[in-house]
This record gives sequence, structure tokens and C-alpha cells, in this order.
Amino acid sequence: MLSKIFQKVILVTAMITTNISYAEEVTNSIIEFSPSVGYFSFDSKRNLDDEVFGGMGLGLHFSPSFAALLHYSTLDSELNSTNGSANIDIQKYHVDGMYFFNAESRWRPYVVFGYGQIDFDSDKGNDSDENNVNSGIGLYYRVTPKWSIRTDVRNFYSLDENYNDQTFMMTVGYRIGEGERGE
Amino acid sequence: MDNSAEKLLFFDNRPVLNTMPKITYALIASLLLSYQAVASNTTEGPQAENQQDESNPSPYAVTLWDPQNGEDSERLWSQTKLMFGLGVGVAGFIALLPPEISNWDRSDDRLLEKWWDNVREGPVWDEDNWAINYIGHPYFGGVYYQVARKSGYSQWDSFSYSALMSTFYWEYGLEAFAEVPSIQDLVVTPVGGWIYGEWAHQTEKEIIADGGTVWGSEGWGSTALFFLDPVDTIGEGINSMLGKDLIQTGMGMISPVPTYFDAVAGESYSGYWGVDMVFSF
Repeated sequence: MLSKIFQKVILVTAMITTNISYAEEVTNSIIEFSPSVGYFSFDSKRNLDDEVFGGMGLGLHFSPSFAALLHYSTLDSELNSTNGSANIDIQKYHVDGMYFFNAESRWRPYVVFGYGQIDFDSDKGNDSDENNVNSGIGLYYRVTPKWSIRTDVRNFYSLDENYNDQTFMMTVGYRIGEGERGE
Repeated sequence: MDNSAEKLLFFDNRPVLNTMPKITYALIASLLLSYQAVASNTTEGPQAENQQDESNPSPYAVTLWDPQNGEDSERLWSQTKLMFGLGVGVAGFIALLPPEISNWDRSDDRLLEKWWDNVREGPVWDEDNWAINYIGHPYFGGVYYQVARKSGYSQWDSFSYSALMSTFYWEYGLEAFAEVPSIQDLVVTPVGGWIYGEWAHQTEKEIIADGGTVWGSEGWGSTALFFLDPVDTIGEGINSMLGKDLIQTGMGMISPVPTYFDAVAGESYSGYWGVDMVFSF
């Protein structure tokens, strides 16, 4: 009899211990895919048309407060100058760190800082790339543990050319596995 | 058309400041510091300080070099040596081939110089075929991941191992002799490898727990196990036939370029896919 009780105690203890260790283990549910759309407003000195862009991100949510993501987006624009026009294919990519305030709530204001590059490919044959840093503010809304929506405004400062471009971006975040567990 | 306007506006021909690598490294360092801060502060609340002792380490602690829960570090080390040995062996073999076959500059100075130039220039956004970047690299990441995961390590440890191997063994190691490290590969390989590797690991465990069957069929079960980990399956089959553990470990890789030979000048690797299997006795 005592042996059976002892076995049950061990079983329950093992289950609790397993649950605790499972809850503490980092799983791939911290991974996020994040398709996005946005509007790119170029520095007026560039003489480029502002355009809508689409993008994709991949990153890790290390905690409800902090995430690091790689973002890629692409758009087409047109250069209008006194010497004529040119179609420009643009690709931009950046690594961003995001810090979320009020992280236990569904609504989370956040700040974002990043570093990356923007590539310009002209149909006239002149290509260029610039390194840039970006910073901005946004608002995150957790829809479910796996799905979220966020929107932010950012300024991209070109380290090579001293231009300031702005973006407005809306992102859908999808966390794999169980997503944000326990909330 | 006169392009002077473009040049004036933003297609300036002066050399673009090569600040990307330095700032990238700074960013990686700052992210690592942030990660460390997160890792040491994941337990919140008034008792957090007391809970962050040695008996309750951060879930982000990496224990690859200090197994805490019976992980098979010998297996991990054995397979790591296998991969390094394979890489060095292949590189040495290619280096011994005549330059007209290997396309490699055999001058030691040139080879090391090329590696250093590529390392200094990167990382860059590469223009590789999407299948290589988003199928091939996650698969490779999954191979690294499973090496650690099957040795009993946690998901985070296995991801960390995959990130270390894909970054230093491949991107900044062997591949840097041929091309500049890629930004996408540095991220997509370990993160995609985590997703694929964990899926393959769990699926394999489920099939084995079901007695090696899928949909009640041993045929489907053995087929699925073979494709999830062909090398282990073959190794176990050989051991089973011989009645002893002749093969200790095995490793498989899908390669977008030939491992044991290089294209002759004028040829290309377009459309090439290969499978490498390596067994350790």
C-alpha cells in the first residue's frame, strides 16, 4: 500500500517537474515570420516617387519585451529629374531590435532600432547601395498567442548620403509552435 | 540619356563607405549583450533575484560545453570532428587538383588572401537562387541542429550549436574561401534549421513510438524514417545486418555544389544537387 502511494507521489512529482522544465525550456515558438506592407517616403532630395512596398521578416522573440528580426522588403520607384526619368528597383534589408513596453498586455507600444542597407538598381545601368540606421516607434497588438499585428513609423538615415527617408509599415506576426505560451 | 542627375542625386560614383561590416559586428555584439540581459532577466517578479541561482539557470543558458542533464557530449564532439574532418579533407582534396580542374588559385597566399578579403567584405545580401537560400540552407541548419538534438541537448542548445556551426564552420569558414558571407544565410540557416530540425526530430520520435509505423503501415513508417534521417537509418540497417555496432555515427548532407570535385572552367553548377553520406566507424 505504502509502495503504491509512494509510486503515485513520484508520478505526480515527475509530472509537475516535467511541466516546470517544459515551461522553462526555450522552444522554437519564439520564432516569428512577419509579412508586411508599408509606404516608403523618400527624402525629397532623391527625386524618387514615394511607393508602397511589401516585405518579410524572420526573427526571434527572446521575451515578451524583446525581439530581434531580419527584415527584407522590395519596391519599384521612378526617378524624376530634369534630365529624364528612370525606373528604380529597390531592395532594403535591416536587422532590428524591438523593445516592447507593457509587455504583459495585448497592446504593447514599442521602440525599434536597426541597421541595414538599401540597394538601388536603375534600368539606366547605374546601381548604388547605402548603409543606413533606422529608428521608430510603433504599437503591437497580440491577437492570439500565435498571431499579432503591429504598425510602426520609422526614419531611415543614410550613413553614406545623409538622406532621411520615412516608412509607415504594418506587419502581421506569426509565431510557430505554441506561440506566446501561458498568456 | 545623361545620367549626371542620377549621379548627383544618389548614384554618386564615389566609393560607398564600407561601414556595413563594422556596424554589423557592432550590432551583433549589441544584440548579444541584449540577449544576455534578456537571458539573465527572464524570470520576473519580486523573487526573481533569488531564483536566478545556479540551481535554476536561465533558459537561455547554453550548456553545450557543460552538459547538465546527461547529454551525450561525446557523440556531439564525435560528429563535430566528423564534419570538420570532412570539410578540411574536401578542401585539401580540391586544393590538390590541377587548377584547370579545381578553378582554385593554388597559391597559398592567394587562397588565404581571398578568404580574408571575403571575410572583411561581408556580410552581404546575397543574390543566390531562392531554393538554395530558403530550402537548402534551412536543411543544412537542420542537419547541424539534429546533431546536437539527437545527442540529447535542448532545443536552445541545439539551435545555438547550429548557429555556431553555420556561422563559423560554414559562412566564415569553408564558404568564405569561395564567397562573401551572406546575411540571409547567417539568419535563415540556424532559424530555419531549428524549425525543420525540430519537426524532423519529433516526427521521427513519434513514428518510433508507434512501432515504426505510419498510418498503420510499416512500409510507410520505414520510408518516412529513411527520408527523415537516411544516414542513421542506413547505419542502423548495416549494424543490424552485421549484428554489431560497426557504424558509430552517420551524417548526411544535401549539397548544391559537388563536394568531391569542382567544375572545369566554363562549366557551371546550374541544376546540380548532390547527397553526401558520411559514416564514422
